[in-house]
Amino acid sequence: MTVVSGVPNDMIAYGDRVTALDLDLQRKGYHLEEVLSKVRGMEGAPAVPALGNDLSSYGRRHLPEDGKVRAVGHALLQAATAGASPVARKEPGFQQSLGAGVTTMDSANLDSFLQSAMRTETALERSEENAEAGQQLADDMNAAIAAHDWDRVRELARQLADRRDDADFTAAFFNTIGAKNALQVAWQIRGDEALLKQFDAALATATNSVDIDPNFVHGLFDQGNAPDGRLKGREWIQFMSGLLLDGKFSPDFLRAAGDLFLGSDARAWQMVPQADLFIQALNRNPEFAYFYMTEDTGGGHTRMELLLGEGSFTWNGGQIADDVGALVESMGKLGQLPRDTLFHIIAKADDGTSYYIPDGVRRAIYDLLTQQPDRASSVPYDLLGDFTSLTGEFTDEEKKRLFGLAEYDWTGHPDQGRIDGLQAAVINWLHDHRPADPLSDSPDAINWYDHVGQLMGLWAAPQRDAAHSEAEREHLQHVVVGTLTAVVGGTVLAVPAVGEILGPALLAGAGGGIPIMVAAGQEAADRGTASKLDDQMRELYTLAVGTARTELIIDAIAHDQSIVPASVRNQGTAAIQGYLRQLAGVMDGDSMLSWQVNGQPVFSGDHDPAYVKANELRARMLQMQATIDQRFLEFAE
Amino acid sequence: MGDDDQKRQLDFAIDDAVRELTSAIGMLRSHTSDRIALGDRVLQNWQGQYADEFRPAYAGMKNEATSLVNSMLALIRDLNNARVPDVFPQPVPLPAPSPPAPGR
Repeated sequence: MTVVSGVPNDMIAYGDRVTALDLDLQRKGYHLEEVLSKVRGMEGAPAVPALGNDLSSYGRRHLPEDGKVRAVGHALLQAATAGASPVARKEPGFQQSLGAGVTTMDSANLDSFLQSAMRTETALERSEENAEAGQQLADDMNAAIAAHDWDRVRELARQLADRRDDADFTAAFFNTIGAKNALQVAWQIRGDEALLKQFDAALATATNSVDIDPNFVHGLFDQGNAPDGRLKGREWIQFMSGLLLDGKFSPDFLRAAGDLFLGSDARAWQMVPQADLFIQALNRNPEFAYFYMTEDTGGGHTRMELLLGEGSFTWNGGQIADDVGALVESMGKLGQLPRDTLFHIIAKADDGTSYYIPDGVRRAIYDLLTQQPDRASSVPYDLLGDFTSLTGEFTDEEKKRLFGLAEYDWTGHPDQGRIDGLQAAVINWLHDHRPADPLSDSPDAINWYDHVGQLMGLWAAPQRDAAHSEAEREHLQHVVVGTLTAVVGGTVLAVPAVGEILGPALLAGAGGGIPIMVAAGQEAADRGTASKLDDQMRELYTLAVGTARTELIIDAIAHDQSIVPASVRNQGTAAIQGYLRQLAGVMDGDSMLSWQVNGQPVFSGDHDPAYVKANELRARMLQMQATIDQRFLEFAE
Repeated sequence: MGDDDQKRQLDFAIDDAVRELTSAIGMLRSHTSDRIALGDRVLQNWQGQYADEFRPAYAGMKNEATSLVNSMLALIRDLNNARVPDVFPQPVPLPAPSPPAPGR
């Protein structure tokens, strides 16, 4: 057995102190070499060896050896405490007493702990070296600023840009130069936008480092640190907006920036482009943006709301209005709670005229209602189902407003692309969420009928009052029928054996069986509730019901193929179509026993198993239609 | 640039270099002193493979530090020797401090 022994605390103390000194020597050597290089080559100067480089090399070469002493100390301590009970670990001074004494163990027991400690040590040393390099650059930058050597400042800013993603480096750099000199650098490079963007990205990286001095961030927004004494008022805000061109800033930074760019001065002076840069910066940190924009700023108002109201930054549209929309979308995609919260705020901000909500935000609402995010993300996949849940998350009025905002632009004109997109999303959602057994009394089945009515009603409601021309209405109907037919047809094909039973003719185009079934369902709907609706709503309602009936029949056949009686199937495709058309249009009180196909009765009597099944299907369709009626009228009236 | 200017520039550069070298020597001496105080203490009780690896490296660090300090001292001497006399007026010695007044 090979024995290892040592005093862990002594080793750790050595490593902590001496590695810090190694880093100091590296930095000192760097500056020494700079000074020596100025003497070297001057007339009359002696030979000047590169002792600065030697000093840096000394610190750099010994850093890993000194760091390993610390790692062995940590490993010894961890190995010695690994077997201790949780109670013993909690004893005051437990670690201290172990670490201060000589620890002895089999070296084989130490190795696994040492491997882990060395990984930590390597990362720590890398981090310390990066910080040291950042301090070196900051020393040079401070010297260049003190000498008013602005060319050198720009050159050093480019060196910073090369390390802009390094949190240790950038935090050490900015901590060392401080807020005043950081602003001076930004001032000197303000004419070079590409470089300024990289500087901003470095600043953003630093603000997220745990090592950044909080006073540095606050100092940046202190006008007393302005690089030019004449920078005041509008010019100060304009200059400061140059810090926002790139990078994901920390919450501290963004909060301080928000006070400046969305503050009363910025609003009074209509600093819209600068506020827009802030919105874009927020959008690069949507997690913080969500908390910031939905915070109560007093009187139950949120910052989000203030961006949408009359006289707000978005009042005149433009880029900022689009960017606020993009921000809403980013925040809304963070998850169900953010999306619902934003929807509540926007629905509340809209006073009914809808004029205050910019198109960008309307687009965001549309996207949040229709886009299916990555299933692996934390965002609920079931966007429409969540939005129209029966738990009362949204009031009916909020739902109607949000659908209206999604379908119409701020001038009150319909956005046909979004209306079509919403319709397709609604229908796709209905297909994706069909109940497993459509003929059952399960809550799933009942909820689905409810959603059919609700979603179609929500989709249609905003269009009811719109002044569509006859041609536009016809176009809408055409699109509705086409979409429904295509989706239902797709469903049929996807169900094994059903396509075979129904035959290809049933699926074919506008003259095929599916549209005929939908039409029959529409007729059935027309005979009931539809008479209470005006022309346009009647069309939409009957389409919803016709489609739902067709869906139900197709699903029922997939579940039980004997729904189509053998007596009908034996007579071919035309007979099947005829039977299904009658089934799709059946109403309460219709005498199904009298149905015929090709002059032959379909059912042998009321004990015919096929009749019992068809009768049961009728009952379900009527139940479904009643639910749809109720919800559709609620949302469309 | 005239000869005198060049000589002055060299003198300024030597001033900076000597100042920086002196500071580096101070830092390295202090560093080495800390290293020795802490390192010797660690090695009093440290046994095993890793201690055996560290001991020669530790000795090398101390020797290397001494050698570096000597090189820097030598460079300071060379730099001071390279100064051109009479470029600047020789500093006038300060008068000896007067003794404190009685009763103070």
